Amino acid sequence: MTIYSSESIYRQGIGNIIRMMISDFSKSRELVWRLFLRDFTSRHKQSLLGWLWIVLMPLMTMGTFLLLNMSGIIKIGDIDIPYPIFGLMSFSIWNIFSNGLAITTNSVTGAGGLVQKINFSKDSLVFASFGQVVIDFLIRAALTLGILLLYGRVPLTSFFLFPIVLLPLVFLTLGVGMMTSLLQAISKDIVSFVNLGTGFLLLLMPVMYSAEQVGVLGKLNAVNPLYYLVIVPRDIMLYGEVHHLAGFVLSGIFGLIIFIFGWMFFYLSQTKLAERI
Amino acid sequence: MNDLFLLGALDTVRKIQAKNISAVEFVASCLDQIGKTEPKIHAWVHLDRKYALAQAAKIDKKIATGQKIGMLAGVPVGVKDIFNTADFPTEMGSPIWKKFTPGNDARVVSYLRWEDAIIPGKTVTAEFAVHTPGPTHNPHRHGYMTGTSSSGSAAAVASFMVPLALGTQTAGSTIRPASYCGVYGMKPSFGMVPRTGMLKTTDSLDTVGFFSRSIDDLRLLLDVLRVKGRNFPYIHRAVDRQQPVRKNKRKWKVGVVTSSLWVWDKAEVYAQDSLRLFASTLSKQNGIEIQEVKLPAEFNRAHQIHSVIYDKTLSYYFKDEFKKKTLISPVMYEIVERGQRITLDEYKKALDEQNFLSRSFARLMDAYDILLTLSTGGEALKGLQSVDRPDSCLIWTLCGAPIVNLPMFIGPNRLPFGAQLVGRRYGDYGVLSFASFLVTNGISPRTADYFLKT
Repeated sequence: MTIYSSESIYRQGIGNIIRMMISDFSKSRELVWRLFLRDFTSRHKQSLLGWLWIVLMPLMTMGTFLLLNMSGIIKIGDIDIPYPIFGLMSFSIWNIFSNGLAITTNSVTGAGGLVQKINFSKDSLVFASFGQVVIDFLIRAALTLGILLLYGRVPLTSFFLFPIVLLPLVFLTLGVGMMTSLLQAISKDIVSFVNLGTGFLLLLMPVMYSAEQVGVLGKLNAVNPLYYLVIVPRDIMLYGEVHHLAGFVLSGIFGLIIFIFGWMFFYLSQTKLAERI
Repeated sequence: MNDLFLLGALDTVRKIQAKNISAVEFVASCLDQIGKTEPKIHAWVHLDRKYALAQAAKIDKKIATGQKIGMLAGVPVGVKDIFNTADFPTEMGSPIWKKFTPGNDARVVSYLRWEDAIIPGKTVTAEFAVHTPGPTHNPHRHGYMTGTSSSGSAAAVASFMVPLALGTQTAGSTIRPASYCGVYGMKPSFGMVPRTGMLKTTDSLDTVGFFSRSIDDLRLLLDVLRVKGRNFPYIHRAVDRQQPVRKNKRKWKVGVVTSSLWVWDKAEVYAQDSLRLFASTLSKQNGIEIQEVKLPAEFNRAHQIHSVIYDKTLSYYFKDEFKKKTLISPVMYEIVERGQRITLDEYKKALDEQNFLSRSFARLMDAYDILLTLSTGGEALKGLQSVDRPDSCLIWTLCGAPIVNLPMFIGPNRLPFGAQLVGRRYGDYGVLSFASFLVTNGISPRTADYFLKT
């Protein structure tokens, strides 16, 4: 004896699946907000330094780069503005990707009990976790503004375009994060790979330094979408200049495609999550 | 009012909404009728009177507190015992699954509850909705068959126990009992009504069906149970976006299927005469253009194709039951055994032929709005276990077409039998409109009420 079960979601067609994803997300907005608040309030519990970590992290990274520069190991290169401003802004943007990826990768497995006990839209966990990255960025951007003023510089109007120019990077991060969060449910090694990869990329790309892009590194960065999605917004915000517009637009489209693909991959696979965790 | 049970679904909802009657009063009246008739008819396999009244009381409370009520508020609906129900066992007419509780509602049962329908219990089905009949007697004559497999549902509606009931059709399991019991029956287009939570017998044929005592009630049930919206692209394009079928600007093109079907030759002479006479009446009506249809030659293989698909899938889905030989009927055993001998290639070929037939049917229907033929080859036969006449519905089921049984003819034993109206796939509302046209214009010689109240 067999009973008819629900129709497979795979037979709905891509257009309908995307509509369902958006509709489900819209319905779970309240849940995303509640999960975000939960993460926000519990984030620095039992931490001695608490919110100071948001500032300490970029300071330590900048310090490391300055030390390496003074030792002649790496060249920070010619920068038209004081390094604290350049470094803090660059780190803040880079952190959207690196920390965003780490935090979204852990978001589903981190909520194991919830996933096993309650039937809800699991992508809410990914979106809510990304909220912490947004908060970090906003705090660091405000700090950058403060430092700019301390140096007697007036922030450019283009500085405030960040919600638009950083959107492609957010899409790319969420898209990759959706996929890695599922893979993390299969193997706990994924988040280590993510941290290793983003650490490597930070050195590979002129995020914390401004060296000329020549040789193999230059060729690699020329085809690296992340390069355009980090460097171009930084240049717009700090210098009001747009270089590599074509690369930025193409990378933006790539980021959007990865986001849709990643979200769809997550959406279609999420029913299997509870049994994996 | 002791005769509330005579009301149809639509009238009941209107009266409950207008607070002319309460849901409890109506359900109590139906339960009284069940109490009087059930001992002879045996339409129910599970029935819970207290639970039915409690559901009705909730509807009344909703009304009293000014809450919005559903399209079927306070209407008891019989549910064939092959649909999962959370609150009743689902035994599928088999001792193997005695007291089996699936713990959930089939999708259609959920839809009924969302619209505030009352589920008083489960109706008798043939064993696994196949051939071996249950204990249900024809409400018009004790000791006569009701037709399988949705026998309890048809009998419950025919004997005024409930205004609506759910059945299923894989060959003729809705239209046949509707014909023998003298009620309206509908098998919607394949794919129009969700099957989740329903017993699976044949994937490419199983369809949810309905019984009622009026065309309007069939339409109401179709509105409630059919799939809708963009998540169902085919139905959305073919049904949701379509405007009302016609505004009497064009004549109905009706094709009468008689000589070309081999089952027609097996029909009783009186049944053939009745349909011919009705076709002749139709031909004199304004607004109807009638023509005799000769089905393409490939339709002659319909029964063989159906048999291969049906037997093979039954042998697959009931292989565990097959091992319990003493607990299944000889007929079921024989079908499964036969199905096991059918090779996968033969099955795939039959599925291809089914597709070919469906396309051929779609081409044929370019020329007609409706096909008209006999629902059964005559009236109900004596004896619950009698061997029935060849099925005259499965050919349309095979094509995924919508079918409506009109109760209109009387056999030599004064028992009813029907004519079936067949439409284009997804032209369900068109078939209902034509049926409505026949009934409201008095063209259909008798309505369900004629059989049921005499």
